[in-house]
Amino acid sequence: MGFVVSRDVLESDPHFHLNCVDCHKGDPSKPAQADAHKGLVTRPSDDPVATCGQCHEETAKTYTLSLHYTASGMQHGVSGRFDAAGKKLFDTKVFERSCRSCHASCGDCHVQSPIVSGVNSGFLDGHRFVRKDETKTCALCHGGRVWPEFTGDYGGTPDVHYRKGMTCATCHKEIQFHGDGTAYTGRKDVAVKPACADCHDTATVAKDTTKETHAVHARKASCSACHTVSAYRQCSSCHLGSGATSSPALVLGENPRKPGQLTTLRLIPTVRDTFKPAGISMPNYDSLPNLWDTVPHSIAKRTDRTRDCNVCHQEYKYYLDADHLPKDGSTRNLELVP
Amino acid sequence: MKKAILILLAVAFLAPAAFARDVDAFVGVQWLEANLANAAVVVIDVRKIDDYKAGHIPGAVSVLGLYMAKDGLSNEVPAADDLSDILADAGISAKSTVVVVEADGARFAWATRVAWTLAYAGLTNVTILDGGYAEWTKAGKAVTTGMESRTATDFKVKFVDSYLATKDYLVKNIKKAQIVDTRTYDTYFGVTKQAFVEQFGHIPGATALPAAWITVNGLVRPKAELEDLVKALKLNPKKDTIIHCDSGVLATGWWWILSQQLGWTKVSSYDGSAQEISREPGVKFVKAVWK
Repeated sequence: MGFVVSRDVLESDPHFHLNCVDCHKGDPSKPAQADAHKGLVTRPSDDPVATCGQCHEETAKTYTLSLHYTASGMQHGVSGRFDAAGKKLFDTKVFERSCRSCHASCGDCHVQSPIVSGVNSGFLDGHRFVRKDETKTCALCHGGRVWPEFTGDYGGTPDVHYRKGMTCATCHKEIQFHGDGTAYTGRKDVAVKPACADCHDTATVAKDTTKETHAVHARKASCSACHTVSAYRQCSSCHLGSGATSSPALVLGENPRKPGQLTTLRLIPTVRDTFKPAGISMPNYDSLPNLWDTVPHSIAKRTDRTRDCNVCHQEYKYYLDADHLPKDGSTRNLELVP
Repeated sequence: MKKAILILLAVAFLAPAAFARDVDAFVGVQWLEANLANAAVVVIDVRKIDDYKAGHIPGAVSVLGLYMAKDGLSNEVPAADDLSDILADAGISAKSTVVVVEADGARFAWATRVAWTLAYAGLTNVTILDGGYAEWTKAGKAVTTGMESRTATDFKVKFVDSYLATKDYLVKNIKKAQIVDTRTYDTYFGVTKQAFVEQFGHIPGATALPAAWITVNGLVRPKAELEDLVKALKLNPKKDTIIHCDSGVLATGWWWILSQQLGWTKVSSYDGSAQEISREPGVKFVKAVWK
């Protein structure tokens, strides 16, 4: 019979100065498994302050307010579509029982890979605590979108940053994973997040023509509008209850959060009767669009748009088109058509 | 006499790179270990970045993005300026001997896809580590972790057009050329097909030469065995030969063998492959026949 934790792990990881029961509870004095496992806590870091916080006090406290822990973005992103009664129902019936199950504990990133759709690919490195292992943690939860777009596995080309050896934590710093101590309602509100300009100063690029091009487009288009190289996943019916469909597309339209800016848009799959099975209607469905600004992690120095002005200025290739908006979608979608 | 000299000169200039290479088409672990310190040898590791970071051959640089989806086709060659940047950033120059390292024998065709791209980009001395990184670690050789880089060069690609067959070229030569289909027998025969290929079966007259025959136990078969396989199918080394598969990866396996190892001079790889040609209304695939 093998053990969950090998002697090598016990000896090399300072976390094992503690005993198993310090985190997992149970009763080691009982020889029978059923008795020993009474009160066992399988995921101790679901309560970060009570476990990891014993030593990592500040980080654990901060983390309980972070979006990774609260999953608050899922709660508030859709809440504008409900009336007060619907929101209350959603918060208790859907968010707490479904969406919030996605919240990440400390252990989900530092001990084992997170459980996604009931599937757990196991410990990251035995039971050693690891600082980071993006391909087994970030890539699982963000594996439907972002990660495969970043690596080129979603039928595109690898992001230039990935090609140069950068992975998630190169740009997304610790404060974004653990939070900054503020309970945000969604990603859009987070104060410190990576920006292309942190590394790329368009005023000092080599060629004058490149400088000029960036200056002309700076207020009118996001970086991703021109530098996204591959089509990215657009989900159209994930929440319909009858299986998910998605297809690749690069869509350019008005930024719903920054009027006047052309940017890359992603279709978010909330349809009019998404919450019908839970008995929740969305009387304010049309108050929010179905497409939202996104930064596909599929960046290249050169794209068809950087090579040829006509792609946008003559052909309007990739531009959101009123005739191709999602059927029976939000009326607000029309505002995003450039 | 003058005429003979001119003919010889013309032959010399037109001779494909296969004859000019200074390194075999495949190298083993011993060769690579012995040549790691040679500044002209550039080892490129084409596995996923996290696999590379977790362990790679000392001095090897990570190179990705050498094939890409474009215009509805799964695996296309990057634009000349992008490809030049990628290769120059890796420290490759026209005089380099480039060793391609994939994960293992199961990724053989991806190694040849990269190697073919480099040869198409105008590099003469390109070789593949037989068995890939798995063979290196199996031999207990030294590995290192993290990222490594080499001094960038100003390398600019100079495409060798004859190495790549386009759709138009295939359509024009469909009855004249020797067409080699490197997919599985099931696919060739029309029993099954990839979802992205529009027709069952194969291009009329194409010869089935599955890519899976090239390797055994993760390593490339001996040259004599590969020659026997080709001879048995009565393929003519002197005839214009167009190799294809479903999406331009497997095809490069036999392209590499025929062109770079066996010295055939008129072989091109059709990277649009069945994915593209099956959409062509004028090309009707045939099923349940062996030719």
